[in-house]
Amino acid sequence: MKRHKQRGHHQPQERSARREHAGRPEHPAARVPAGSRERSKPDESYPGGGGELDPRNQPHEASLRRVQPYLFEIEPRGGMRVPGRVYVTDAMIDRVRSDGGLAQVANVAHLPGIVGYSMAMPDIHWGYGFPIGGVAATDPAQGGVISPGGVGYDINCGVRVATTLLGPEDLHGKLEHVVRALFAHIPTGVGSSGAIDKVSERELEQVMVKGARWAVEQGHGSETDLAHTEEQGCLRGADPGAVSQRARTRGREQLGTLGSGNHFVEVDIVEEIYHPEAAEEFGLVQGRIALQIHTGSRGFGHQVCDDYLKVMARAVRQYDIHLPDRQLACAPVESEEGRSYLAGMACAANYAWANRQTIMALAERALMEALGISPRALGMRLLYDVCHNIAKLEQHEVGGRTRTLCVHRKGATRAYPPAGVPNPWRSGQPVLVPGDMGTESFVCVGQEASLRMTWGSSCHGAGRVMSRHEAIRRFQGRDLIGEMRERGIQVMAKDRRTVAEEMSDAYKDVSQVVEVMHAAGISLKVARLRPLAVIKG
Amino acid sequence: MRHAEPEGSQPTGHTADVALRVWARDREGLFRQASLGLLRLLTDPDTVRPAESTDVTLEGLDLEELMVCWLNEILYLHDVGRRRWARVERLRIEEAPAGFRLTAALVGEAYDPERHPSGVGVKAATYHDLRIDPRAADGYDLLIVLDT
Repeated sequence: MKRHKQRGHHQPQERSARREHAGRPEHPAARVPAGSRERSKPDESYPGGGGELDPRNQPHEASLRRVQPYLFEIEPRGGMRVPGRVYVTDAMIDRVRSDGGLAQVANVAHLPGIVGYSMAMPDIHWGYGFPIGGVAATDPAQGGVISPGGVGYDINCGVRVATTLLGPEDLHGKLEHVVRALFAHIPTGVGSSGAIDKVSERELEQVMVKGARWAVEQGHGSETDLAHTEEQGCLRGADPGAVSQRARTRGREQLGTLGSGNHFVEVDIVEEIYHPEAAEEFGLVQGRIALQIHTGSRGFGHQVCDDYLKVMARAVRQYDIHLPDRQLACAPVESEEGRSYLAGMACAANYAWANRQTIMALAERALMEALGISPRALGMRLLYDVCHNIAKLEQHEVGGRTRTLCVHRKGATRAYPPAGVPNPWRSGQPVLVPGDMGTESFVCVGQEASLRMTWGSSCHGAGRVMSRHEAIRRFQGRDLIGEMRERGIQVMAKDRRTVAEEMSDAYKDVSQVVEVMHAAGISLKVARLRPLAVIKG
Repeated sequence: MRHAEPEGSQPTGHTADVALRVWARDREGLFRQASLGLLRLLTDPDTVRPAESTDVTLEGLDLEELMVCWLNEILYLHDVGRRRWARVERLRIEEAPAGFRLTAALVGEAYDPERHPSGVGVKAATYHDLRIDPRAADGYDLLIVLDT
């Protein structure tokens, strides 16, 4: 692999494709980074010939073997540079086999510069490009690549949990009121906009560079929230110059909005404590009310991803990279394209943090208003905020040496142990694992084994077992919101179909997922949260 | 797979997302049906009045990129332009100096929450497993995975 010097960020093609009346006839090829065309090759070998993507075309049975009680390994074959490793139990492996996720683990192993293993957490399921639950690290010094497909469209989709001083008695008879207030304060649904005043172009640049801090400066939350956010709510290296006008236009509309699909704001009760010491440090008290927020970078992140997939489609030609799936398109981290994507991705990650920080403040106001209480009585405090879709340059030990690796986590959570890495927590970094809206979620804590085994990563959620389409078909005609109410969960959604898509039956049992990570010593269970009220898009 | 209609589309399950199965005899049909399938996921096109037309011209390195660009263009106009569409007209695909060019007109109107039911929250069309043979002799039948 050739090394490439940084030549400064280049703007992604705003659109290799644009509307006619946009009035900029510039051809996409004209925006391909300088120097690329003389090196580019004819298109005879464009990645795509691998043909491993049919979900039935899983890695050969013989190539999959159990190496530890909770760990299966896929032997390298064909163009795989490293083996695959999947953290699942015997009981889970059949379901994983019938999904397409294993083929995707094998596909990720083709990435240039990948180190160790192409991994998947126990919530693995078939995604696009990377499997959901996928973790892969590449070494930039060895030509390691960065792949926007290893992050996904919803850059820094993530979750935060806030604790409160409320008990169930404070919500008695008021839950419906609470849900209505949350729904009124936080815009939800497809393309939702207008939570807070639309930000100006200049402010949006501040959002991109400052992340959660921008929201705090606007009066949404406090300085301590930043200390309780992964990367303090701000990924370094964000450069607005690496973000297209289209992404900006989408971003300005949607800041402070939840979106649709699996995004939610949830009122939970801390049902069970497993790790009293960590729970105490995290401020988790059995019987108290907590708030959970799950959303990401909205249309801003989707556009950044889309823009850079086009950049990467050209980069794989330039750098002669062969991949079995075009959705894995990538460029060396230390190339102009790679650095530019990292700078744009950081802007989207920061946008997502500003978004979750803003939504938490909106939720806090909604709760105070619905319950008629003061901020002091509510006592809302951010426990932690984690990314579920991200790529980061992190220091990890490889063969006894500390190296800077580009760690992709797509549907996975950083899970750092108490010591050895920047981490203010005595017990380890909080790992937040939302389940489906009908059952439970977990707060876990990162452990030493995560650094040795998974580049400091753990699971991120339940993982789907049923497509949205199938869920809608299966639950047609049922009063799902009424059923949830009977189970003591108030649900309010902009679109009833979203409720069907997100029913518990469509997901793996989240407790099994966290159990695997717990048993493997990667992240320990700290507490279980049970939902009382949910708002969705 | 055999279909009763010469061209069409059908949403289908994909564990994490929604996929569109699209079939057609030729390239234009394939692109037209893919977009109609997406329009039907976004709202019920029968509720949309053909009040205005938006011309779209797009280019892609190859047909796969052109397809993803085309569907993502619709999503962009849906989100940012707040438009909903009844139909697609005058869709043409031609070869361009560095790939392919699509021209089409989207016919619809501004989003009206009173009349247009909200549909599936599609984030983006993906390149996942997407291969379009520019010279397929016996028509097309492919799956487009949408991130939702």
